[in-house]
Amino acid sequence: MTSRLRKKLEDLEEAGNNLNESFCLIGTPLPSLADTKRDQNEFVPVWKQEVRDEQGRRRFHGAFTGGYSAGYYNTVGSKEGWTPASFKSSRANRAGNSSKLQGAEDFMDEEDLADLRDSRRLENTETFKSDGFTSTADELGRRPDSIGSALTSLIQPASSSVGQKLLMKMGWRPGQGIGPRVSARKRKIQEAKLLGRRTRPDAAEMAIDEEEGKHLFAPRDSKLMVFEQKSGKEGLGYIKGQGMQGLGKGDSAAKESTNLSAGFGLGIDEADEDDIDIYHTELNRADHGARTAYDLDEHDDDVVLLGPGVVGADKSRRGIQRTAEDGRTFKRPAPMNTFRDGNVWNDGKPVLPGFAIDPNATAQDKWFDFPPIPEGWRPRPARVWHKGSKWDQTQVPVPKAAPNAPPDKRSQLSADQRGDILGEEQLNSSAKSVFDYMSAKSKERLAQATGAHQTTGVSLTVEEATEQPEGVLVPPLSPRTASAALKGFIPFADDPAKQERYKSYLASQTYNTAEPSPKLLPGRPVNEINKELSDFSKSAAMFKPMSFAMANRFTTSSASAQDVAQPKPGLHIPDPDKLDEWADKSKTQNEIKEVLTPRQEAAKAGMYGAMTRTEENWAPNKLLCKRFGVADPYPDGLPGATKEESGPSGGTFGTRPLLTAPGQDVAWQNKFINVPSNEEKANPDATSGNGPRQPKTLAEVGLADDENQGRDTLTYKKPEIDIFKAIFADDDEDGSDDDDERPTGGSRPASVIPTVPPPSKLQQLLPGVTTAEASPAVSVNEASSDATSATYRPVFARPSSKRDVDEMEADTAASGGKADGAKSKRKRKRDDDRVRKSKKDKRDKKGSAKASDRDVRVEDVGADEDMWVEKEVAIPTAPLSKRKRAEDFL
Amino acid sequence: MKKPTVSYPTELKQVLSTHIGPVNVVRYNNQTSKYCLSGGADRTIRLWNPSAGKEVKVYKGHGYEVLGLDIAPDNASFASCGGDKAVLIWDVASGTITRRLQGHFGKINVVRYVGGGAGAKDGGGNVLVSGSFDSKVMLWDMRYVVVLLTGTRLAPWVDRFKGSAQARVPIQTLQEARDSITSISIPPSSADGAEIVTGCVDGVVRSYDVRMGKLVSDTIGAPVTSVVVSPTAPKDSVLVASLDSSIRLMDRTNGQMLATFKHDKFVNTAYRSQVAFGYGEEVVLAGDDQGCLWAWNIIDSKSLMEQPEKVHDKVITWVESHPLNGEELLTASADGTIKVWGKKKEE
Repeated sequence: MTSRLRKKLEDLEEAGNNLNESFCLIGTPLPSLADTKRDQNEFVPVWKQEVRDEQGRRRFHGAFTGGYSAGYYNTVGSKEGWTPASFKSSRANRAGNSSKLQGAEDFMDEEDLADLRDSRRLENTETFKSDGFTSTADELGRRPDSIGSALTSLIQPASSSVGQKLLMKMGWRPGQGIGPRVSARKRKIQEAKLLGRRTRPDAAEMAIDEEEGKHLFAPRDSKLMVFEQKSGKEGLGYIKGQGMQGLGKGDSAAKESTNLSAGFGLGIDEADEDDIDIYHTELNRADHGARTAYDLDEHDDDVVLLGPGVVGADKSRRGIQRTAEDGRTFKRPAPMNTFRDGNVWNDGKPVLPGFAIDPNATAQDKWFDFPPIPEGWRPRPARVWHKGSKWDQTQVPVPKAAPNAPPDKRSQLSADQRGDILGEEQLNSSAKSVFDYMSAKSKERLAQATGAHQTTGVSLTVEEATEQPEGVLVPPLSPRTASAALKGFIPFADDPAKQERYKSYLASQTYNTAEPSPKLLPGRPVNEINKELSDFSKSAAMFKPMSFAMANRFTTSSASAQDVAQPKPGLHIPDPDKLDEWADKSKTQNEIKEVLTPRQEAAKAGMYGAMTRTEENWAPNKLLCKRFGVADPYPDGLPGATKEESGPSGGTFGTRPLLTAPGQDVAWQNKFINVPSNEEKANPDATSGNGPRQPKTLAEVGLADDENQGRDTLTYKKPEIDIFKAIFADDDEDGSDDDDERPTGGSRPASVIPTVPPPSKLQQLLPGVTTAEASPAVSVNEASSDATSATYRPVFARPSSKRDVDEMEADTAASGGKADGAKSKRKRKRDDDRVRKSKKDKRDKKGSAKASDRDVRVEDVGADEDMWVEKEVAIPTAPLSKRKRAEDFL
Repeated sequence: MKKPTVSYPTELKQVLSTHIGPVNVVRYNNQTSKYCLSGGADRTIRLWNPSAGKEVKVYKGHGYEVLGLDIAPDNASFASCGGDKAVLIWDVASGTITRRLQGHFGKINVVRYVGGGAGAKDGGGNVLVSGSFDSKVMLWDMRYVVVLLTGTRLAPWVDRFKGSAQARVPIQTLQEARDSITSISIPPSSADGAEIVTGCVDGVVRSYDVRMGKLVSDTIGAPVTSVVVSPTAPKDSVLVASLDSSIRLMDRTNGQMLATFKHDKFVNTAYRSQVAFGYGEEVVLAGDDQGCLWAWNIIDSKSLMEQPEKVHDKVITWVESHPLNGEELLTASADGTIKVWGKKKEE
């Protein structure tokens, strides 16, 4: 197909622009889209889409409701489109039968529906239309006038309800009341009631002639209740044209009620009913004196209690007061008292018409006096707090000393107190308080803020009153706190007498005090003394030194930056006389008292030189040295880098070496990076035949996923020629002979970190090349003292047989100092010249830790001898001083 | 008035005044010293031909004021720093920002190339030193690309190194200072030294010797605003200006003070004002807080004049002496102008 198409296309190119050629081989091709009319479903961009209604108008929904593009461009109500009607049919509820009952509304468009809505109106039915129960304004307007209604009632068709008919059958006639027949006397009473009288009809009216007395009469028809339409906005009970006072003042109400409300643009002629100030009556005006829209009177929030005889007297008193305040001769309106009891509140205001005061109103709560406090009683809240303890009992017999005693020791022992009991050393004996570090001014300010402010101004130096007056409560203080506070900062320096009292209070609170009762504020009321004492206890708690652990975390502040002037109330007016003095003072105050280091002092004195100079070692980064083109001054690391020099300039502590990492060693890395590649060349066969653990993967150790990868490149040097020599030069030693003489880790110089077989011996390690006896290639934990912090990295070591392990252990033991084993001896002899120095170093280093020398990690993998196993080898963090050479491995 | 025995450029040649607001730094370019770059509080860096008084180019890109700049030894790029806590490396010709070194936590007051100066050797400018308000000095590698190209092995770590975190972190951060670093002076590469001298507000001049691995801290006392290593004897002396209105010539070898340059009317207590050696190190030039340019004879450490005239309206922020000849002098001031001074014609 594609070939055919390609052919066609080639033909097409040949034929030129025969683009309309059909590719259809079977059947009739569809007409070309270009030929016919436009595709109905062709995509039209949103802005081109228009929807028009049947009349061809673009629908406009209003500027704020979407304009021409309401909804989703006049199409549907949702982004997704129409929600298809879900078809649901069940046995109980058949689809089509009940669910789709179509009504006339289904065929109406929006205009028709709107018409329908408009035409709907809630109306009375025909039956009730004519009667009086109409409410809306137009209905009321349509209600015929009284004459007309009378006439219509005459010609009203006799239509009667069922109830009426039934009543008629039961003997009721129109005009009669409903109910059993009554005697004439009762009927008279009914009549009287209907007329609205409250009193019983008098005897003359009740006179019944004999004939009347013989019969029973139908009861009078009860009057239909007529409710007045409320047309205004007046309050409940308000009678138009009549103020409240009208209730009390009778006829004069109408005359006085025509107060015009204050308003703009009202002539007298224009004043109509609405303008009459209905609320501002004479009474109110007299009350308030001025026109306000609401009652601004200060008594407004008085609680009015309902009920008889409660506040009458009070109110009358208030009325008098108010008169005095107003400055007018005004008497509380007398008519108040003349009202009938049922219609007047206690304060004289009339009850709203239609309401009556309940004579059985709830009585006011009765209040009783407190029982008299016994003579000599004084409050002691602690008795409640320590209920059940012996506090009270012990207090009572010894009233003087008792308040000083600490609270119940068994239950209230603090850690400090327990420490005292146990005889612990007081840690804060040499501790300093925070306040020792503060400036004196700050301290004073703090002291004032903590409560000394009431009495700081009063300086009373009289100190004769040592006996404790009655009622003085000495607040108990922990003896520990007290003694600590005594040693710490003593506030109230501006008032020596007070300071003395403070000290005396603290002294009284210590253990085994000589003066159990503190000096008190002389000649002052008890509450003042108590106040001062409680202030003292607060101050003591605040100024007591902190614990020793915290004390040395603070340093003395040299500058009192917070020292600002004590704010004084009122407007500050600088005194011109004191201005200069103040300026001088502030200048001296602001002078920062520096605490100079010796070097700074020397510099200040101009003694530059040795006294101002410090020299430290500083380790530049290796890369930095390289960039500067100089040799690294500390290739072995900074001497004494472990001890941090703490000077004013910090020493080398802060420098961050970026690329120096522990254990970075050129020799080590070269071994892994360079040698194996050469060795690959040397033994191409060996690398090809085995599994993934090929020696060539050794090359990846330094590169992939290795922390130290890349370091070597920064410090890369071409391998020494010795290595190449070692690899490529002829080896005069017999390989198979050396199998058991391979230098193991134990006999190796300490600087050789992972025991990787020397390059020249590598072929022996490679399976397939060497003989069957596997040579011991072990990875050795160097077990140096640095190894604890060493990083672990995988190296590859060959599993060794049991025999090899034994030999190796023997070797290790031999290298540790025990000379045994002929083989190891022989081997040592051979290696002696080369490694003697290193060995010596190692021995010195580990002289005491021979046991750790044996820490040779051998893993016996056993069966799979040809596999290389991954091992963890500790790399010492200390960089090596010397690069290893190839001969070290020989 | 004492007859000056030594001379320095005193005749106003040009006024470069297109900076809006204070000019914080002005620097000659290397080798030829025909051009100068200035950085100001208006966030621009301007390249000038000072002798002609022409503005050559405007470098815009800083978001905050420019506080320091230095030109790479090869004049191809320059570094600037300021309130935006980053050192920007610009390409001079195109005016684009080529690198942005971020790491400081405060505004950077000063930036210096190592190995710059008039006698810049080839291969200078490997390291950039920046000193910041955060009391740290950071050393930046400017040659990291070269590492990639010349490295013998292209290992997987190259990806990590390439243009990313490794290249963006400084080589080393010097954190010995206890306050804002105000000034850094690096002895010219011709001196064959490898040192970084920093001045700090804590009043200590610290000399980091890379070659010897030593840090020498000389306490001056007052906040140090500028350190200038002597161009001719960089191992021996350093000029230290501090906010106690005095300039000291310190012996670098033993920390002793060689001379103090001060005057009753010379007041520099508030602003950083870079001082300079005059050409040939005959005079010490410094501006004060009022805008007067002072000169002291370096031999007898006496001011050349009792009361120099006020050459700038505001504090002189930088005095830059022409490194090649004594014919030109630049003063930058907070009044927004850079003035180019030349020597009076011999009469």
